[in-house]
Amino acid sequence: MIGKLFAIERIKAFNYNSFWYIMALYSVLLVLGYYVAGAFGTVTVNGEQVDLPQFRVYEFPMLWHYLTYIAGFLHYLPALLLILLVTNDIQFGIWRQHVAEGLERAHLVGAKVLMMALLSGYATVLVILTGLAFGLPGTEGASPAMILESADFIIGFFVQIFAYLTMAFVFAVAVKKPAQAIIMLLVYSIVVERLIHFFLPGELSFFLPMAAFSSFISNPYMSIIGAEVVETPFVNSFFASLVWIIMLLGGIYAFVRYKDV
Amino acid sequence: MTPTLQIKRLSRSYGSIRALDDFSLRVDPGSVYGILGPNGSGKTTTLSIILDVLRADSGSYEWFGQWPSAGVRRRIGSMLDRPNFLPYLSAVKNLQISAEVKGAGHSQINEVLEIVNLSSRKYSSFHTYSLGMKQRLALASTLLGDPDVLVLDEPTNGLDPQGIFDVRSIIQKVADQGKTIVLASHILDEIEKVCTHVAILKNGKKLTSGTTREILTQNDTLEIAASDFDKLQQSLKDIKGISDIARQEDIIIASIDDDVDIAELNAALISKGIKPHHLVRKKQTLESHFMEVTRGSQ
Repeated sequence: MIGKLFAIERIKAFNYNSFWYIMALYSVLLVLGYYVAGAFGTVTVNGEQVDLPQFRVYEFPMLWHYLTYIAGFLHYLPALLLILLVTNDIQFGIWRQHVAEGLERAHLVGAKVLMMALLSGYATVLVILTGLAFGLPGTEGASPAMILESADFIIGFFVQIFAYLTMAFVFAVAVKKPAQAIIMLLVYSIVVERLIHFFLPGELSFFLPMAAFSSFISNPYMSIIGAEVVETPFVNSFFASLVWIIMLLGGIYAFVRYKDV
Repeated sequence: MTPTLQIKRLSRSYGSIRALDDFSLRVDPGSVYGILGPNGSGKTTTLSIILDVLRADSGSYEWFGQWPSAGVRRRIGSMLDRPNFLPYLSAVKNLQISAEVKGAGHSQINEVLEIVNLSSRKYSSFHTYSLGMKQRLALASTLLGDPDVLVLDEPTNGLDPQGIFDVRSIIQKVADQGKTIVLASHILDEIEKVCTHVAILKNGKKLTSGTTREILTQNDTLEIAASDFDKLQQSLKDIKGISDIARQEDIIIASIDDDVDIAELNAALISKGIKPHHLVRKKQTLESHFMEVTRGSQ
């Protein structure tokens, strides 16, 4: 069944121009963004470039923290793509036709989870390749141990982008229209959840979905300006995100299962 | 004989509107069953429920004597109320998706496109198609996987006369292979020409059902006029197979059975000294019966 669902999603996505435009834009912006971020690692004093030791963006093992943090700003592009793919299926009656022709409703959700895994996998591989491309020449005496030292950021990155896509999936299914779903995703993540933070005690705020997803990768630049950074243990972020992913996907399935398609 | 489709007391409401009300139907193998009704009568709701696209509020249905499942639906070629395809994909790519869903393989795609006469446009994007071409592509999709049953919702919607003729020919060809077809339409002529059975729906309720022949041959009408109306009216009462005799201005309207020969009737009247100057047998069309039935329900 997974092979069949993947074949169906592959035809829909790989023949969709927006898929290639958005993924190309994502890839270029990720590499370019990381390249530009390296500029913060040096300052020019009297015409000479001086390295700031704290900003060794291209050096293992800190590279993964900087890279995954910077790449995190681009999660909205795969989220936009997922919203387009889901709302296409709903708006053009493709889900209706799939059910009529013999797919279970669980398969409709499962097919998009496969697409989410594909997008998250691609983004993670791109991050790894970008990290290696910048890190190997940028790190003196790079060793496998150094490269793998902070590899949990990569796992966190994968879970984080998958979780963001789950949120996008929720808005796409609930709103059914691409523009409104994208706006609601942005408004929720940028405005609504931050407002809720004001009314919740700090510890509870962590359990809000976007906060849980963001907690994988703290802002690496904050320590430079002297701000106190409280790192969330990886396992806490992982389980909080996992619980949200399961709850959100379960909610989507219940919605699709019991409503008309 | 296990019915291909058995619908038991389905009901469905949209808010306060009762779209389908206690609807039951039995469709036997090999029949072409028409569900006829005006717009908003519950036809699309019925077909959407039996294809699991809509949820019924109450009632049940079985396909091939089995509880409906995704596996059962893969034996059905379905054309919903509008052609559901991705606009940016070509006909071939859209049909590849349908073939994957049905587990049908891609080898039949060219064949079904040939049947619906879309081969020359098979690589064009769906959004460039006319409404008629979209309908024909939807019909092609139903044929993938060699299904046992076709469920078609308004299959000739938006087609020009040639397109209507072509689609009906395809449906007839499929029916001739012994396959079962469930067809919803508001076009009486379509039901009359294609279907072996018909159910008439109005406001979500089934008004009548049976073979198309039964419904068509009910109450054929005799129009007759002669100079001596009273004698004519009296003589008609004595003739077997003539009933419901009523005078309307200068003409008599009556029901006439199938086995009454109009020439013999004329001869019988002449032998009684009545010379009809107007004698017409009007076959009761589905349209007139439909109007009669639906008027009766108001």
